[in-house]
Amino acid sequence: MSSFLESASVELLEKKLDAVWMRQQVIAGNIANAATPGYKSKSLEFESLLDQRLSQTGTSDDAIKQALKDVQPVVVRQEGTAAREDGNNVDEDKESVEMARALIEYSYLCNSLSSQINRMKYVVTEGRA
Amino acid sequence: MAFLDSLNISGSGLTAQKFRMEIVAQNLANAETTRTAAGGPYRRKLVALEEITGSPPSFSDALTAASGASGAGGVRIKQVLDDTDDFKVEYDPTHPDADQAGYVRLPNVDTTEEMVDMMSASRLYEANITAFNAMKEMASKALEIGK
Repeated sequence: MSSFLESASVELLEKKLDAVWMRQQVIAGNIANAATPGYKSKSLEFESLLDQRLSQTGTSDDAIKQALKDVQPVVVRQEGTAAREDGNNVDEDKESVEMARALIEYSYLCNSLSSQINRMKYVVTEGRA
Repeated sequence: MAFLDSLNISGSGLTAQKFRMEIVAQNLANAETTRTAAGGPYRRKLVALEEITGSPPSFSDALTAASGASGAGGVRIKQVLDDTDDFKVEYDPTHPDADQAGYVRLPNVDTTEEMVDMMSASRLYEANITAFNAMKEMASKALEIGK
C-alpha cells in the first residue's frame, strides 16, 4: 500500500495548490503592470493541460501520479485581445474576477487537504480524536 | 519559489503608482511656474513604467524558469520624461516674465489631464492593494493546512 501522503488525491491537491498560487502571482503581475506601455497580459494554463493528458492515459492512480510529474503549469502571453493605445491589453475587471476565483479555489483546496489529513488523524487515533 | 516573494509583485505596483501620484502632484504644483533652473517655463513630467522580467539569475529563478512558471516579476519605474508638447502662451503684459509683446510662456501642464492621471494612479493603487491582500490571505490559509 502506498503511503497516505503519497496517494494520488493528496498529490493532486498539492500540485493544484501550487498551480493556483502561481496563477495568483501571474494575476498580481498583470495588475502591477496595468499601466505599463506595451505590456501583454499573462495567464497560467495547467488544468486544461492536465485534463488533456489524463484523457489520453485514463485516470488510474498511477496515471494521475505520472501525469502530475510530467505536466507543468505554463505561463501564456495573451497577444490577441484588443490593445489600448499604449499597446497594453490588461483588463482589470477580468483580473479582479480571476483573482477572486483563485482565492476561493485556494481556500477550497486547503480545506480539502486538511480534511484528508484529519481523516487520517482520526484513523491513527482509533477514532478518539 | 520563495513564498512571500510574491508579495513583492504587488509591492512594486504600489511603489510605481505612488510615484505616478507624486509626479502628478509635482506637475499640478508647477502648473504656473515660469522659471526653472534649466531656463524657461516648467515642462510637464511623464512617468515611463517597465515590466520586471527577471532579477539577476539565482538558483530559485532558474528553478522556476525550468518548471515553466516564469513571467510574474512586477513593475518598475524606467524613466521620468519631459513632455515635449508646446508651452501655452498667454497675453499678460503685467506678468514679470512677459516678453516685449506682452506674451507669457506658461508650462504645458493640462490640469484635466493631470486629474485623469491621478484617478488612474489611485484606482490602480487600490487594485494592487486588493491583489496584495488576496495573496496574504492565501498564504495564511496555506499555514492552516492540517489544523
